[in-house]
Amino acid sequence: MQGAITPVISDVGSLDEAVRDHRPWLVRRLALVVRDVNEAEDLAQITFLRAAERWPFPAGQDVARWFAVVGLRLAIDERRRRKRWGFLPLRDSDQEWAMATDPDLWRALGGLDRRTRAALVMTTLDGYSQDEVGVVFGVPRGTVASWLSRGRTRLRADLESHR
Amino acid sequence: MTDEFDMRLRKRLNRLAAAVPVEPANPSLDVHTQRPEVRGRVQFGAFATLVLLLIVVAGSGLFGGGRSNGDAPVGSMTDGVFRLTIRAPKDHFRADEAITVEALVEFVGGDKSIDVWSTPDVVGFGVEQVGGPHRIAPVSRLSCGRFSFPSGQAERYPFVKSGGFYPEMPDADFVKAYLNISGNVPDPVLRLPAGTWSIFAVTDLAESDCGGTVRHTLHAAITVEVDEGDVAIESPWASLDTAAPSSTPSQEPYRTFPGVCPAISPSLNQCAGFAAWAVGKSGVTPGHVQRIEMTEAQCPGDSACPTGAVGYVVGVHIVTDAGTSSDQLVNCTRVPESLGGINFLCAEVVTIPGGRPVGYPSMRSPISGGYHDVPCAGPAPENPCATALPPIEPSALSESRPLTIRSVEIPIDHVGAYSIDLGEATLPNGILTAASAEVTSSPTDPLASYDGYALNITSLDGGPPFENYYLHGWRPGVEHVRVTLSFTVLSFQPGAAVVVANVDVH
Repeated sequence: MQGAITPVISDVGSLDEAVRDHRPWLVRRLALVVRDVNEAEDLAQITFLRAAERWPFPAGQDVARWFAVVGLRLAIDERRRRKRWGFLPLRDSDQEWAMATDPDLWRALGGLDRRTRAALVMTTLDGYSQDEVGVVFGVPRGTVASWLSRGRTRLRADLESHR
Repeated sequence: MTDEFDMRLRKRLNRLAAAVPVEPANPSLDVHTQRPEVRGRVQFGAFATLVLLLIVVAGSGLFGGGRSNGDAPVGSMTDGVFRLTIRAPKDHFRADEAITVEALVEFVGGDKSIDVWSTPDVVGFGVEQVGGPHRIAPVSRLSCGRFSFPSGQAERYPFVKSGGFYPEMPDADFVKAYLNISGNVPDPVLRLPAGTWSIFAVTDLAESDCGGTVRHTLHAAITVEVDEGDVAIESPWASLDTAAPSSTPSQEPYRTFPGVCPAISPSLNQCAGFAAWAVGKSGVTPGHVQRIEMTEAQCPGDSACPTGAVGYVVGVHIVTDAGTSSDQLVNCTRVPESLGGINFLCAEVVTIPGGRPVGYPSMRSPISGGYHDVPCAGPAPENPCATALPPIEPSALSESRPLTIRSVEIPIDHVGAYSIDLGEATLPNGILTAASAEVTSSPTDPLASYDGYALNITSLDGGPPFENYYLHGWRPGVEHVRVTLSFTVLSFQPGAAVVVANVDVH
């Protein structure tokens, strides 16, 4: 599966290496969730800064999973933070790369909220279970199932209307 | 079929993910083809033990006579608007020999000249061992300035040694040796150990402002060979266990904001940004901030700020009107290229990624975009779902009295929370149809308010808040309300004022 998370266990000890290895897929995942490459890059950087504060990770730590969990949590929290501060109109503008690749899917994803997009990306693209997604966002499995069900229904309707 | 739909969705998501234009975190160094080193902004984050040095080499006129010989390596890159060139007088050096390098930046866009914004260094330099593990990316000062480039006139930038490391970094010893840190006296001259080295220059020039989205980011490199030197010298490479800097600057006393700002920051706006960020991070309600104090702090963690460190750390002490306090650290040291770039909080023009400068007026009102009180798919404004307003009785409408103000000027005379009484209105059937106003102020004004401006509507008849129609309810006749404007001033200069215009509450 192209671009899927490959578990990398922290035993090498080089943060630079980990950043180099994991940054591309992390930015890609976050860009799908937050719909903005620049913001995705910012979130990835914050994730790596958080990692730097904790590095080296304990032996056996799944580095990729840690990055994914922290990055996606940040993607949700950042939204909350910006809203709380109240002066930030967030950009949900169409991005050229997305419009050139799959405009229908891009627009359809835009109809979902961030959490649902994140859950969808994690489960569909990276094979996370609903339980694992629930742990990431601090909600019960049933809530995740509900997000996914509604998200899929809406996506399906949006995508089929463009057929 | 769900499975089939999921499979198709996975394929399409994969394709979309693969199309995301991700810049490599650590690009290789082919001249002309690679993306530059200098990366975009990074969010604020405490990076406890980072040490950064920037050592400026005085311009030396090394290339005054043009290219010295046929072996003078030159690398360049252009994006059609700017051309970045790096060059050295020869491509072979001894390990004990000073390597002389300079970069040229030239505007080639066709117009007479162009103004761009950049860090004061404009060009950063780094080195990478070809086929080896060592690599040092440049760091730069965090402030941002405006530079004018006349067409066809190349500006010269002599080599400046810079680099960053943190103690746990695998290559920290190499970086320290490169910077030749010994007793806190860095060596500005570039010397490299034997081997093949790529020396590169990067620049990141923004149009329109410091955070401008139209950017010219260029990377150019040359390759040089370094042989073992014949002469035994005091080389930094002789001992890679050079002691880390050990100076510990004394802690300055806290002083009250905004008077402390000139000592803390090159820009009042930046200083206000620190205060705004710290208050936001502390969780203290803005209206309850009694005073803010700041000091130039030590680097957090075990490592002290070395002399000449790039960036700085500011301690912010927030005291509330209840007598409690909160301490925050604003870390404006810059992190390595692989971990970040310019910290937006630390730039002189404080901007929020994708947003507006801190202090730019924004208006909040209770029904902006309509009441949000029906079940939504998600939070507004991502999923707006405003309630349709119920009909208003003609009799109540005729009895109601809107509040309209064309313009009012509010003089600013203190730092802290303001609550300005704009007047009263009566609402038909207790239904608030519109609440809007404009605040005219500019980002460059000394006024800074991190939470924007809020138009507050309060019932004078004991009614609940106007945030939810179903909770507020409908009532016969009219409801009397008071309209106030609230905001928090973090800094100002004498004569500052906020102008509120086109107030409309009905």
